[in-house]
Amino acid sequence: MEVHHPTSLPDALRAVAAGATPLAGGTDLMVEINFGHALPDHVVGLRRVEELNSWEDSRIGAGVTWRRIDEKGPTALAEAARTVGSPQIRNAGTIGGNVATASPAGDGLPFLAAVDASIELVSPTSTRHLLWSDFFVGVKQTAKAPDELIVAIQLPERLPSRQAFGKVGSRNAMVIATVGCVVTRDDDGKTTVALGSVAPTPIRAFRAEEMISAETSPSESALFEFQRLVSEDVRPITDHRSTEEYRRHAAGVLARRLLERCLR
Amino acid sequence: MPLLTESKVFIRPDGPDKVTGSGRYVADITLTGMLTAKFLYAGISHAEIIRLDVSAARRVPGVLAVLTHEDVPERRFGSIADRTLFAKDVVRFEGEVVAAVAAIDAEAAQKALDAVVVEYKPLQVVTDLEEAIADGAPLVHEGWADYEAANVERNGNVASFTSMTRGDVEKGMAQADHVVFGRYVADATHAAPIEPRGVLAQWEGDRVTIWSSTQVPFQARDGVCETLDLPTNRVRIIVPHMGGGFGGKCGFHYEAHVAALARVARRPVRLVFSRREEFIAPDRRREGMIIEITTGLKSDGTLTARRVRVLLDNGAYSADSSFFPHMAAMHTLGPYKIDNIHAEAFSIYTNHQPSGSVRAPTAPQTCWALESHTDELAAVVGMDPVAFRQQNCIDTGETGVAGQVYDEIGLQECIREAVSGIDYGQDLEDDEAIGVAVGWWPSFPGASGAFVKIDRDGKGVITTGAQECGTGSVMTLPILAAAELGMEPEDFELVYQDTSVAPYDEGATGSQTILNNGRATVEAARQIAVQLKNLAAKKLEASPDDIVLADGRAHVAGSPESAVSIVELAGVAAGGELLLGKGSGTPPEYPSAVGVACVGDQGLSGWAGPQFSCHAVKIRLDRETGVVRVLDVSAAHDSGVIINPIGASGQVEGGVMMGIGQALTEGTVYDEDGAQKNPAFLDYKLQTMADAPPIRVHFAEVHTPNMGPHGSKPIAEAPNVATAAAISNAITKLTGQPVPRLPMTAQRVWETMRGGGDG
Ligand SMILES: Cc1cc2nc3c(=O)[nH]c(=O)nc-3n(C[C@H](O)[C@H](O)[C@H](O)COP(=O)(O)OP(=O)(O)OC[C@H]3O[C@@H](n4cnc5c(N)ncnc54)[C@H](O)[C@@H]3O)c2cc1C
Repeated sequence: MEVHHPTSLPDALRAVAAGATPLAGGTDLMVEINFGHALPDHVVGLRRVEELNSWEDSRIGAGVTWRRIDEKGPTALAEAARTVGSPQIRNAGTIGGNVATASPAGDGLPFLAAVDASIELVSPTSTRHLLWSDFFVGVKQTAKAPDELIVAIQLPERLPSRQAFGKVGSRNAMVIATVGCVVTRDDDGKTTVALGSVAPTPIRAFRAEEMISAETSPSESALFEFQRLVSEDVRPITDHRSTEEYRRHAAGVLARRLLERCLR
Repeated sequence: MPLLTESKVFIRPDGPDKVTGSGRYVADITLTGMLTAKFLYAGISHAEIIRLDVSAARRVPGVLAVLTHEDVPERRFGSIADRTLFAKDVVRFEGEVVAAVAAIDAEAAQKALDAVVVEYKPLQVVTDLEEAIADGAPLVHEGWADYEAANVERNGNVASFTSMTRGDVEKGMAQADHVVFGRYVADATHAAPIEPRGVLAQWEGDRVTIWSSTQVPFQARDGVCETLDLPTNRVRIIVPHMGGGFGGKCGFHYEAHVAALARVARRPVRLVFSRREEFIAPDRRREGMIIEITTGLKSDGTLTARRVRVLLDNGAYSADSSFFPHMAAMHTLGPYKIDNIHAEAFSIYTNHQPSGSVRAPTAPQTCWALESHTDELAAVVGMDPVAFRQQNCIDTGETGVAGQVYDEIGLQECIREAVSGIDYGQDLEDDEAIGVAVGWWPSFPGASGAFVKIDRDGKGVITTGAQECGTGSVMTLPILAAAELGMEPEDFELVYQDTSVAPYDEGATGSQTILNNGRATVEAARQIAVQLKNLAAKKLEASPDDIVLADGRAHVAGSPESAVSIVELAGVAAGGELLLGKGSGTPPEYPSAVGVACVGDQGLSGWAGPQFSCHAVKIRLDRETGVVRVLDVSAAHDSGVIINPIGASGQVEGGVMMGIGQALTEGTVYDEDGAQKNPAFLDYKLQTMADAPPIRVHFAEVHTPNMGPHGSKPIAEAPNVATAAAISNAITKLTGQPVPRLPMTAQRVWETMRGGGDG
């Protein structure tokens, strides 16, 4: 096995272009290797690449760990960070790795969808920004080209004043969300709701958003209508972890509760 | 009175090694020239082997041994001799070993596995318990009538069967004002120790040394001897540090496979399991069950009759599961006063992974069913569930379901203390509830032995076959030896788990360490006490009978100033007679149980030193999502006199945490073909520290004569019995309906609340 430890982005990109698999915190990649789903013979470690570790205002470097996001990230993203794995996982795991893995259950992803973040991709010859909805294309599938690295996550300059993250899961730590959700609500009532684990990619529940954004101070029945629309809009599957029906239901309940938190 | 008070904390000698990471486990031991072992598993749950060709695998560079059934003696083993080291002709579960390889590294071993040619003709898979015992069901073992087994009736897919009858159940039902029926289904679970097992074997001439992460080194040794035709003195099993077992590492597992590989390869060979292998391959899984209970009772709450039927998923082979039907029957009948009982329990062959002893085998599932049922009974007659248990649970001098009359027991104290520990009558939020359940568990007196010696500096060594997989033998045995000799626990080191050095012991199975090793250690230490007293008597010019051993000294009774230190006596002894003691401790007899007719019975109706418990659990239920959080646990146990409070409380806390997992999150999911769908921690969810509620522990210290030393009883498995049941009863208070299936996942709780749910 060949391993590179570049200290600059161009060196890292060269290794990737030569076919090396990027390794950030390794908390997803090593699991893949453990299960025999990935057997890379060429690896490039990203931790020493300074450009990836930087974090300037709304531009979060791909190498920023969950622990750092927990300390100073925007409200709902920090809340999500706090629920990722365990302290060990949060010390190692990065937002870039979470985005690159693109698991439907990735806890960082609903926030990116809720605030319309974009992903900054760099190859040896180009730089481009993809909106989250163009970047996530399927279960663990993204629009990233093989010779590209995720360099940063670009958030909007201004974030909604109210945000909340929550997940439903089987225990308090180290849990794959049965459903994860971010709700944001701005001063003008504009509401977004993004969900994970209920579709191949993170998704927004646009009908629910539209309906509730029009309500300046939503009544109880409006809140339950919001819940119903979210349950309808999601597209979960049945597997050995949960049924479609339960996921639909839990998604609606969770979204309504997070909205209530934003309204408080 | 504990021998070690809370104020005197004895730090377990293996603790620092384990918490700092410097401790060495099997996977950390490396020998020169060592090879890596890997197994080829069936990967299919039921099939005929049409072709098995390892010739290409043997040619892979770096491969030094490839073995199949052809390369070892043909021997069947297990509590019913239904199993061989390697599959021959038929595979019966996905994790069955078909071939084993040893190679210079893992890559070469994998290449060899890939080069094995094996063709299967799929056979009909048996997974459903009711279907498996229906007429005309396909058989898991076509030829099992020819297998060796003691006291087993052969009948289709029934691997073992128990029936128990006392009184007249029909008459009892006729006397009842109410007859209540309940059906409960439990999914299989796993022991899930944090250390996946490892085995390392090295031959020197015709003798083999095997380092193995086994809870039962002597059973492992005997398994090697039996399957490879070796005398006991040429097989030596050593157990280094272990990262837990919980029953999953009981029995004889892969020691013979690895020893056979090492013999052919003429090199040391090491096998270390992955987590997936740890899930699918060993014959130790807590079985799935279907439990049906019918109880008749009078309007005043008196129980008149109970009928139970239990189906246990035996899996493909019977490692140690043939006594499980009996255990399941006793647990489903419960620690209650009922004169008319009839119980039938069947352990049924399927094409699932074999089941076997996992901490308190059969008890958590059956207790969950029975105690859920008991809350229903209380509701039917309008009684508080605690008062109902106080009225119906057995007490000192009373007769249990199997006709055994109990000596002094502390079940009623357990109920009282568990309930008061959780503040049962407190005001609760409307999404909170408290559930209560009682449990019991037998003790298993058996053979054991210990050697104790004291060297010239007054320091001692205890050599025993006791296992330390978390049992606390490193604490308890020194405490017991020190108490006999007036010394400190720190004065003793333990040499353990070396079958060529230590006397025979059944191992860390059936909560035996204090009970059996403890008695042996005390007996050995007492022999040294006699020697010390004789030496001191000479020195102090007194009679040996008047010598007292205390505080590291021997003194004359009544005159503490007339004393000599044990260190000095040890120095004297070192020049002549040596300070050596050996003990085996005669196992106490099993009590009799009268009036129970048993068919096919492999268990014990009379329970020696039964341990009792009551757990009270406070939960919060999220009614919209079905998510349950455990907020508070109060666990009261009658395990006799407690020798080591820290160790005993640790057992209770660990048992409760396992119980919470079984209640809410742990369950193995199978596909229709009998394969596990979640053989990984990603999808098999144990409880974590973040989930741990406060756990209040009370010990009802009933002095129990003729059991463990100092009036003690065992403690390791009992705490794993009642927690899931108590959680179930708390949930039912909020849902109005019991969740009919274990684990009671959020989804199942939610489905129960909506009406229906998968029973
Ligand atoms: C025990 C455990 C618990 C977990 N719990 C959670 C949880 O609660 N919630 C959750 O969302 N996740 C969880 N995870 C998954 C994982 O920790 C996160 O997804 C984490 O963010 C991955 O980041 P990483 O830096 O470790 O990625 P790595 O494993 O290093 O990489 C993951 C993938 O992304 C690629 N990659 C990494 N960085 C880049 C980059 N800059 N550009 C392009 N490709 C890149 C890698 O090649 C690899 O394919 C858990 C994992 C474990 C082992």
